[in-house]
Amino acid sequence: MKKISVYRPTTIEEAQQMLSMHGTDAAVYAGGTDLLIRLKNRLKQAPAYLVDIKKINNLRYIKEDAQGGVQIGALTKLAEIAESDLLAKKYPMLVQAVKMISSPELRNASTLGGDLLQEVWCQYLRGGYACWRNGGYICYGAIGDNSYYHSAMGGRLCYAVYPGDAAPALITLDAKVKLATPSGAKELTIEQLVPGDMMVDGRIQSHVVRFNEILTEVVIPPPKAGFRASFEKLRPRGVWDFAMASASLGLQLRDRTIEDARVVFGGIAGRPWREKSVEDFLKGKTLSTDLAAQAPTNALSNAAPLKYNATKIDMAKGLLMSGLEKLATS
Amino acid sequence: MSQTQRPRTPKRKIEAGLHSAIIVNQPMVRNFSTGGGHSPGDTLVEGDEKIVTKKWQGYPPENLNVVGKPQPPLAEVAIPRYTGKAEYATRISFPNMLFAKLLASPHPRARVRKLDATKAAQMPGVAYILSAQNAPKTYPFPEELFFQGSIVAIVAAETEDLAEDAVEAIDVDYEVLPFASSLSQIMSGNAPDLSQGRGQRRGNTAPSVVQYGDVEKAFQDADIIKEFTYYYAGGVVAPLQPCGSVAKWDGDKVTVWGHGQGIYPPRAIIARGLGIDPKNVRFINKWNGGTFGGVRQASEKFYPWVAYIAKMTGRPVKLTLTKDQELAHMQVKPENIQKFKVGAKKDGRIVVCQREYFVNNGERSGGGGGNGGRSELYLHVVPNWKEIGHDYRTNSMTIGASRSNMQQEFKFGWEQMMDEMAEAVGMDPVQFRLLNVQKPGTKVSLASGGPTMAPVPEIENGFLTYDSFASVEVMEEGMKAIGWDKRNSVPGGNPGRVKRGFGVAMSQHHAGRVGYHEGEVGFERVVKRGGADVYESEIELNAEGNIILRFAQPDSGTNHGTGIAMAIAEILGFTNLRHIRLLWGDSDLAPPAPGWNSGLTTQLQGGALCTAADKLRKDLLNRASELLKVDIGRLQIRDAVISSKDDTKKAVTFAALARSNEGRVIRQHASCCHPGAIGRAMNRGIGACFVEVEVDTWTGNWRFIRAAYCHDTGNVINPLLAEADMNGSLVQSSQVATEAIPWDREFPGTRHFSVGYLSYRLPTIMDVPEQTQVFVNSLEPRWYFGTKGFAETAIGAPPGAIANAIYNACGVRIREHPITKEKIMAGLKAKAGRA
Amino acid sequence: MMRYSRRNFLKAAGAGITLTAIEGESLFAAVAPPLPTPITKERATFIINGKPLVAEYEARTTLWEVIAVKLGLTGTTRSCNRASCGACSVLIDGTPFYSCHTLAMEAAGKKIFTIEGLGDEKNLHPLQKVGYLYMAADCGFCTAGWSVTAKALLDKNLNPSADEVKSALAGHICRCAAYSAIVRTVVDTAAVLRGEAEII
Repeated sequence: MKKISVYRPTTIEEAQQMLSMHGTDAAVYAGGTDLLIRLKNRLKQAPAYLVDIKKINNLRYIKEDAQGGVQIGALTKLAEIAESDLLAKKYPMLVQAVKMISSPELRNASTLGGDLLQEVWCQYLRGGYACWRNGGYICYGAIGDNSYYHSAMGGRLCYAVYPGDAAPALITLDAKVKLATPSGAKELTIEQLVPGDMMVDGRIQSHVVRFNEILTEVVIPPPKAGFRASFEKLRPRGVWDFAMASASLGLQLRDRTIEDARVVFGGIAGRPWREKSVEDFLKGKTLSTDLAAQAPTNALSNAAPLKYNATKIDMAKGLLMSGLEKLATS
Repeated sequence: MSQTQRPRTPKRKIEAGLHSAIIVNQPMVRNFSTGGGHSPGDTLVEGDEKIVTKKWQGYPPENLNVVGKPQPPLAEVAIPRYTGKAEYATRISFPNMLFAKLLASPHPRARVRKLDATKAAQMPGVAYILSAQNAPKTYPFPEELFFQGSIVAIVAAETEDLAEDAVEAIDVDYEVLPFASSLSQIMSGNAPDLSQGRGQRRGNTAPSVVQYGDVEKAFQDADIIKEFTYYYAGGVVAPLQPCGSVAKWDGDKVTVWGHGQGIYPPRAIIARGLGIDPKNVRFINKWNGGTFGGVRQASEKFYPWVAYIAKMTGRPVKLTLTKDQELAHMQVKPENIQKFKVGAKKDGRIVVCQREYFVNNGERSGGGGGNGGRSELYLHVVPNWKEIGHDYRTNSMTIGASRSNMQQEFKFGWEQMMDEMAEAVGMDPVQFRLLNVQKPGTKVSLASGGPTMAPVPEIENGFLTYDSFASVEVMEEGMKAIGWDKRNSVPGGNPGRVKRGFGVAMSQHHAGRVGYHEGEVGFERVVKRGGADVYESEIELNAEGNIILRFAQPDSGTNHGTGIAMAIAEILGFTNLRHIRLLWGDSDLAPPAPGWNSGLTTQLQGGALCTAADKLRKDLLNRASELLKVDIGRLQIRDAVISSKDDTKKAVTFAALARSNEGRVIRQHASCCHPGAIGRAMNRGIGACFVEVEVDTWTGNWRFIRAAYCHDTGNVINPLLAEADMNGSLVQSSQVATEAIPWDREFPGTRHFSVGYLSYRLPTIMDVPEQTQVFVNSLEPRWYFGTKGFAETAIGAPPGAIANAIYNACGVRIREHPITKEKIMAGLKAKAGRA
Repeated sequence: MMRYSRRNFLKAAGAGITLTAIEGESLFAAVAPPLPTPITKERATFIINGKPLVAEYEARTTLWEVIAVKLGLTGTTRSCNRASCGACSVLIDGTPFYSCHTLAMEAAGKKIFTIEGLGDEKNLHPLQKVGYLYMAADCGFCTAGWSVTAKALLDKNLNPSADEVKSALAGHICRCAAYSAIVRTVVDTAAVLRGEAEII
């Protein structure tokens, strides 16, 4: 592992000072499940200074707010989300999605904040290639072996897919995040949080969190009556692996009529891919298995697959059908 | 009993037993080709040179007390696995030990122009840096870095992290050379010449051709002729234990703890590498966290260097390869292409087959027609055969045993070809195979135009016989176990989204000739010829009445020591293993032997021990006869007591006999060897694998539901261990179907293994099928208790069986390995497009 | 030291690639109060299987290295070293973690449970005894890891179903694929611990 120096601040302000001091040479350290891999692989981009925020009070909780929504502290372990009765009652789809992330032991270590802000898992980056995210000026994935970890929906500089499962699920639930910034708290939607490869503070990352900002909380609005959601994920094995494709669906129903819809694909693009054309198609229709079969027709028509990953699109469409069918038949 | 006490429900008993194995016993007396029936007292005469073998070696498979009974392995081998005490090389630790890390070449082919370790040497905690500049002359570093991962330097430091810091600080100037790592590269017109005077063909220019029969005429006579091409992308075993070793010197003697499948071969490598007397090398390797054939080199090639660094620093040194480095040095299953042209009659008989193969041999030179293995011809009758072989030396890892050798990698194609031919002639795949499979009684020779004889060593003996060869039974029992009648008659014919399908494939391993033990005619002859692999063993009866078996072979979860101990217990008249102890895996304790492989351990190392036990039995009976004044013929042995059959009071214990001997022990020694190039009957069984899969036609997702894994076992010694071993065999072999070496398809010569088993996916508890093991006890008449090696009988079958089942489920035929969800999805889409 | 200059951005922009960029405050905003020195090394006590043991290590040292190398408890094996196999699992305050993927400093002062705490050859835990009878270990390299995770499961749930066992042990690779035996071992060990079954 690369040599590291670790700070253990006890307040957000102290943590921000430490982060500011070292710029992009420092990083927030929480669960470490992503970070330690990059440090072990001695990536150029891996930080030398870790700011361990686990000694800061009040960042690890799951609580119901006054409106009936739920606030989740950024340091909440994925395992705690998976086991939360409150979340299981209010947002079963989120719990289902989180249970499919990595492995039980990793869920004991990784945090919700870390899952949202994780680095991409492109084999070139993780293997230490000098790509956009690792001190170079090229995306190997765009021209290389891109069947699994790369975008089939186009890209800008980095073609790696956004790998997380929590983000697409949370977008479906209209969740927001809170960031602590030097100039005060900031609130963003999840879509705003992870817009895909971005140049932030001179480096490429999937999220907009700046070097001196800290993700502190996820807020999910109260579930509405008639809201139904599903999460479908396809991966090589039954545990550990990232999504080859995933589909998060949320339907606001009145009886069987779809009043509003959220359709978010994961594992196919540089960001959680919200597919508005399908949402529009679904709105006003009656939920049925026939509808499930029709839905993919309008989906992902602007796909731009790379050499090896065209099937991601077909898989995503299959997962969309699968999710809709489950909602139609349950 | 007071009235308040309620009767307790009796407690359920937890004991060792079979979970899902079916054992099918064949009768002892059957009409085999060798003639003379198979009664216990009979002799077998075989081959031109009239090798005479007493049936069952005098130990027939009847009235058995130990052999065939499921029981857990011997405690001294197995319990440490549960307590964290099994002494893997990775668990060896000394105070003051240094940790070594490799600097590996990032290029598929390069030379080191300049290496500067000055900065690295001054870094904190660095004790020694070994590179081409200061490597021992007796064991130099490679001059040319022939594949990505080739060794450039080794750093020893106080911790692994500090060693890695220094590795990073070594400045290397590489001269990158033209390379060809993949088949497509080496087969292209502009591939570099990698032959380096080793007689290797560069391009597609000088294939080896092997043929028999009249291929052209046969194609003219065939009713149906089909052509197929299959591609296999390469595989590797990936045991959990990281490859590595520990070396420690005491004076001029070095002890090395290693990771592999032998004791004496690595000891010789270390002695040669250091230029010292082998007597000064103690090699210890008792437990392994898996080896699967592939590990051997990845540990072995570093032993002399690790020992050398330990000598130069005067401190114990431990080397642990990272998973990506380990992958570069393990033996792999080679990438290959097979092109078939097959002719059959309308009734389904195959009359002719032509196979052209292209094999990526990696660093290994050689080839010359041998690499195809042709074990498929031991399986199926092909009256006219032509094989055109292309073996390429490339800038990639060395090929070799990798949980069997040339089995899954070739049968992935062969067994799909059989399925496609079955479909072409309109037959059920099982019936088609049964029609074309080799059967017991087949005596094939060159003269009779037999299928397999031309290229294989048995030709020296004129013929090869199949005696106890359960080719029909493994198929029939497998059909029953899986419920073959539920198979789709039309591939993909089931309605609905999620479709189930069944598939079958067969397998047989080519190295399965009966060994010779000391005392048999063939043994002396093979040894006299020189270069024979002779397994030695020692058996000892001590004053406590315990039987101690000494043999070299390390355990890799194989439990061969327990299997052998059970045969020996049976020979010596025990009804349990309480008095048997093992001493193994240590060159100071065990007599010389080559390493173990190919599922032959219980046959060859076991053959040596069984022969020693036979000698001990006779020795003890002689002693008892003298002491008790009873004729040997009137003596009986049971659980360490020798008594007169006529007067059981006339008795003596094993312990008493040992105590009365000089030194208070009685020892016997015996050897056994592989027949090598001298022919002998087949004793390796045959296997079949039946699978049921489920395909989600919306997403390409597939699930492995069930498998019936069927083996011609001879006589399974310990069904519990066999069941466990075969469960693993099936899962590993299935993974061979679904994962390839993580080669980069766009940047050849480059592999991705940066995130452990996320990069090379091993099956998890969520991915494995329900299994039934079927053991057909076919009773090999030439060997003790009718046993055979069967660790690698069915092992080649799962990849083909899975491909066939997916085809049966959804109509998508995957001829290009690996079988992935993407390919199923793409196939389904293409099919829908056509429809 | 900055590894990433704005050159990246400028180069990209210069190449005519449209890319959203977020820049603003200086990366080197002046910081008034002096910061505490970061930890690069520390010395701490670990309560391993009930016994306090002291180790000194770097900030980057993993818990596995402290347990198996520095403190000599070699029972915990490390395989992939990338959190992808589960062999190195230990319990920290009763919860399973991959020790290869946990910094030692995270576990300083905490209660750690390793395979050595489960039972030795003279005093085997039922999990070990049942495992032995059922062939739950072939080569045994993964055994130390799943055994402690199974122990954590049984501490919480004395009557797990086969599916619950599978879910709990999903993060453990057994390369010899003794999976079905492992599941039966854990299910039946629970029966022994409940007093409903006995080991012969």
